[in-house]
Amino acid sequence: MSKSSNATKKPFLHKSVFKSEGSKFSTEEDRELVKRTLQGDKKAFEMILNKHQQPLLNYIGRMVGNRELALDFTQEVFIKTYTSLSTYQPQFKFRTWLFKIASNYIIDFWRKKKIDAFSIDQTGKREDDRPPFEIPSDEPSICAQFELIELRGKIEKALDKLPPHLRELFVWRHINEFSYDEIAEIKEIPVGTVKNRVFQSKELVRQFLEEQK
Amino acid sequence: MNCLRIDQVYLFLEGELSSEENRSIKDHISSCEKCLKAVEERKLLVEASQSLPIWETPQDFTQRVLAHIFPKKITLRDLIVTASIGLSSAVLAFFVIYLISGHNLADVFINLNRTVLSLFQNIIVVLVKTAKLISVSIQVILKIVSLILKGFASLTTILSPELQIGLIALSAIFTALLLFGAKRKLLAGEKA
Repeated sequence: MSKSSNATKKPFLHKSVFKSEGSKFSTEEDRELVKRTLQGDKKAFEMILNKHQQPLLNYIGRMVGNRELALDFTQEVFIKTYTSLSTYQPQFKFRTWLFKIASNYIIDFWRKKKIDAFSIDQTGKREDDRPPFEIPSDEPSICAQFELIELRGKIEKALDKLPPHLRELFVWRHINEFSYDEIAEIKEIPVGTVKNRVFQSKELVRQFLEEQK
Repeated sequence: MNCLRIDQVYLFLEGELSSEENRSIKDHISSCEKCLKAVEERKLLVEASQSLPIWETPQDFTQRVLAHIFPKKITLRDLIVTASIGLSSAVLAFFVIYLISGHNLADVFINLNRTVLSLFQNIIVVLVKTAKLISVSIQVILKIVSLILKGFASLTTILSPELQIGLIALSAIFTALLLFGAKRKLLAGEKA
């Protein structure tokens, strides 16, 4: 199945997953702010900070699971971003570049700690890239058994159990509301692979919810 | 249309399909209970995932990061401003003292100088005396300990090992007798 043009998109969900509206403006605005920062405008970097700190904290927080550590990491990522701002290439979206820095920072930290780093192969196939599966005929309704607030809590717990490379994609897709193209740009992998992994992460979350019942 | 695959369900929910594909899926789920159930199930999951609690950054986060990136340098202007404020405060303080006490600036300076000097002198004397007392006490204690140790050492060179053992044993017995009140009993026996 191919992806259609934007005009024909009509999500079944009431709330759109994407922040497509205004994203072009946002990207242009980011590029302008980067340009001004490079010209020595501190206020411009302050605006970048204000704009991206919360999404970044939400990603890093879900990856490391500790608020204080997440705040330290977010700060470090912004410092790293500022020091390497001259290497930013304007043909890419600023926020994908920022999140790539953050992702690499977390991987480096985990490697130093000798925790299994979750780098996704750039080109190679992994076991979890298996084709999407069929809906079983006797599939139980799990999510419908919980109230929305309870379901959110269960999802948060299930996220902790997800393998980090899948958790990362889940967070980007559903919490940071990245498009599949943006995720593919960050991880430098094909869009199809990203989609498969995001679907897989959601199915795993569902499975963990069933175990929590 | 055949029953949906998981990826189709998600693509449908996220509006990633063409209008034609959307329509055919809607037609299918209207007549297939299994697929409708699967769509509803995943719709709840995606909706809840999209509305997970947000981690808020602290209010001073931006300033904290900026302070790391752009550390504030102390300029000549800052120094002049600080010195001016300090000087003005001192002048104001002396003026207030003058108004309250009626003393002129020279008196205030002399009094202040005397007070500080006498306080400083007293503290110094007390500190020196205390230090001397502590050092003398330590020297005395060390001399006593060394004399006791020397005494023991010379005793061991004079006496043979058997005698030393005997002496230690006797001392131990004597101490034990003292402890258990044996001495009192012995004294009572002598009286009798």
